[in-house]
Amino acid sequence: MLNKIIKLFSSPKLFVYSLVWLMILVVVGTVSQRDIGLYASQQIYFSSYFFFIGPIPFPGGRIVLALMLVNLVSMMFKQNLWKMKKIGVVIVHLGGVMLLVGAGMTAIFSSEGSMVIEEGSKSNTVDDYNITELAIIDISDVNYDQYFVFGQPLFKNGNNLMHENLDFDITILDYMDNATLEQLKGSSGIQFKGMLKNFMLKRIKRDKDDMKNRPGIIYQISGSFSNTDGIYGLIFGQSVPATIKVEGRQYVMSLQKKKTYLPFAIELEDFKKVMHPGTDVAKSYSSKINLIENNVPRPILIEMNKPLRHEGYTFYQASFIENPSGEEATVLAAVKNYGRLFPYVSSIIMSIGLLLHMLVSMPNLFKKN
Amino acid sequence: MIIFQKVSLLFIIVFYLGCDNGRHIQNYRTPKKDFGVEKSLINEDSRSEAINNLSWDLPKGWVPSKGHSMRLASFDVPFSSGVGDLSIISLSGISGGLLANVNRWRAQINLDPISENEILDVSEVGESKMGAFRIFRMVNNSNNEKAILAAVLPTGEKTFFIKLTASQQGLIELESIFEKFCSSIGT
Repeated sequence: MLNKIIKLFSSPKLFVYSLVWLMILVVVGTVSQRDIGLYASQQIYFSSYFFFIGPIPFPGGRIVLALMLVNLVSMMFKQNLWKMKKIGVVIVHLGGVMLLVGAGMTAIFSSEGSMVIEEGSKSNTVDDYNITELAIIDISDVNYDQYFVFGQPLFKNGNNLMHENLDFDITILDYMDNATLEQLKGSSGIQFKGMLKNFMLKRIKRDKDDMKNRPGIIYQISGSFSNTDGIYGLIFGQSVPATIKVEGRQYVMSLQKKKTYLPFAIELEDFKKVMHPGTDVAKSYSSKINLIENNVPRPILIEMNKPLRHEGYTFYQASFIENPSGEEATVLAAVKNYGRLFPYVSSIIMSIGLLLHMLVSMPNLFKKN
Repeated sequence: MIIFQKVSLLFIIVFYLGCDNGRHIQNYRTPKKDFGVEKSLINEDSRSEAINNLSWDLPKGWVPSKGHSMRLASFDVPFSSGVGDLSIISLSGISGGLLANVNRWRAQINLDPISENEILDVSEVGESKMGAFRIFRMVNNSNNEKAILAAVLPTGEKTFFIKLTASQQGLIELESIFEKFCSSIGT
C-alpha cells in the first residue's frame, strides 16, 4: 500500500498537474484581489491547505506546494536518475527542492509588521500587519507588566482559553474580522460587563484594505467567582482600556496586533522628508536612528532604498506620521524571512544543473548530427 | 532506495504538520507601561466626606465646585479629555415622580420622552448604604459632547438625585466610578 502511495507521489504527472493547478490558483487569486483585497486573497488561495467554493473543497497553495516537494524528493530517489549522464537533472531537482523548502520556511516562519517610533523615543516591538491577539495584562506589580497572550488561531467560537497563572478562564463567544461599535438604546443584560453594558459590537463587511479593518471580539470571563464574571467585548484600537480586578490583581485587556519583541531597540533621532517642489508629495524620506543593543547605541541612517538588516530582520522606510503640532514619527516596515536567500541559491543551483545537463547531452546531439 | 523515499515522505509530512506559528499561548514580562488606567486606579483611593448629614466616599481627583443653591453638593469630575459636572440634589418625597424627572433629563439632550413601561428597560439598579438606587444613562448619538448619567435614590422622606453631565467619552470613562460613588452614599 505504502509503495503504491510512493509510486503515486513520485509520478512526474503529479508534478505537471500540480503546476497546472498552481497556475489556476495564481489566476483566481489575482482576479479575486479586486473584490476581497490582497491579504484575504492570499490567505484563501495561497496560504491555505484547502479552500471551499460552495460545498466543494479544493486544494490550496500550501497543499499543492507540499505535493510538489514530496514529488521532487521522491523522484530524487529513483534509481535510474542516479547516473553520471543525468547529473544535471539531479542538480535541477535539488534546486527545485531547495526552492520549495525555502517557500515553506517563508510561509511558516516569516513575519511582517511595522514599527511606529516618534522622534526622541525608542521601540523594541514590531506589530504584525494582520494577525491579532488577545492580551490579558496583569499590571498589579510595580516593577513589571505580566502578559498572558492568546493568538488569533485560538479565536474559535466556544474555545476555552486558560493559563495556570490566571485566576479566571476565557471562553471565546465571537470573533469579528471587522467590527464597529453601536450605542445601545436601552441597557443590556446584567451578564454584560465593561463596554458591552452600553455598546454593541457589530460585525461589518471586511474592507479590501486590511489596514482599515478593526477586529472585534466578544468573550466570557468565568471562574473568578466574583462580580467580574460576565461577557466582555473588545475592539482593536479602542481608546478606553478595559480593566478588571480579580482577587486583588488589576488586569488590562486588549485586542492588539500580534507583537514581536526584538532583542534590540531602535531609537528615532531625527526624521527627514524631502517633498517634490511645489507639491505635498514626498520625494524621499529617511530616519536617523540609533540601534541600541546591550545599551550601546549605534547611529544608522535608514532611507527609502537603503533598509537596515539586523539579526535576521530587515527594516524598510515605509511611511511617516506627522501630527498637526509638527511632531513626526517614522513608520518602519519590519520583515523577518528565514527563506530570503533560498530563491537566489536555488536559482543558481538550477542554472548550474541545466548547464551541466546541456554539456552532458551535447556529445549525443553532435553524434546525431 | 525505497526506504529513503519512505523516510523523506515521512519527514516532509511531519515538517508540515509540526510547524505552527501562532497557536500557542505566550506568557512574558515587560517593563511597566502606561495603559492609561492610572487615573481610574487613583480614583479608587477615595476619602470619606460628609455634608448635611449625608456622607460619601469622594474619589480622588473630584474637586468640589460652585453650584446653584438647590444643589447639596457639586463636583468637577475629570476624565481623559475634559471635565464632567456632578450634582447632588435632595428633594422631599418623590418630587414630581420618577418618569417626569427622567424625561426632563432626556429633554436636556434632545431625546424623546419615554413611557412609564420603558423606565425599567433603560435603567440599572444599584445598592447604596441608604437603599437601592436606579441609574439612567442618557446619550444622544447626534450630540457627542453632552450626555447624562443620573442616579435616583429614594429614601422615603427624601429623594436624592445624583447627576453627572459629560461628553459621551467622559461617560464611558466615568461610569464605573460614578456607580461606586452612588453606592457609597449614606448617612
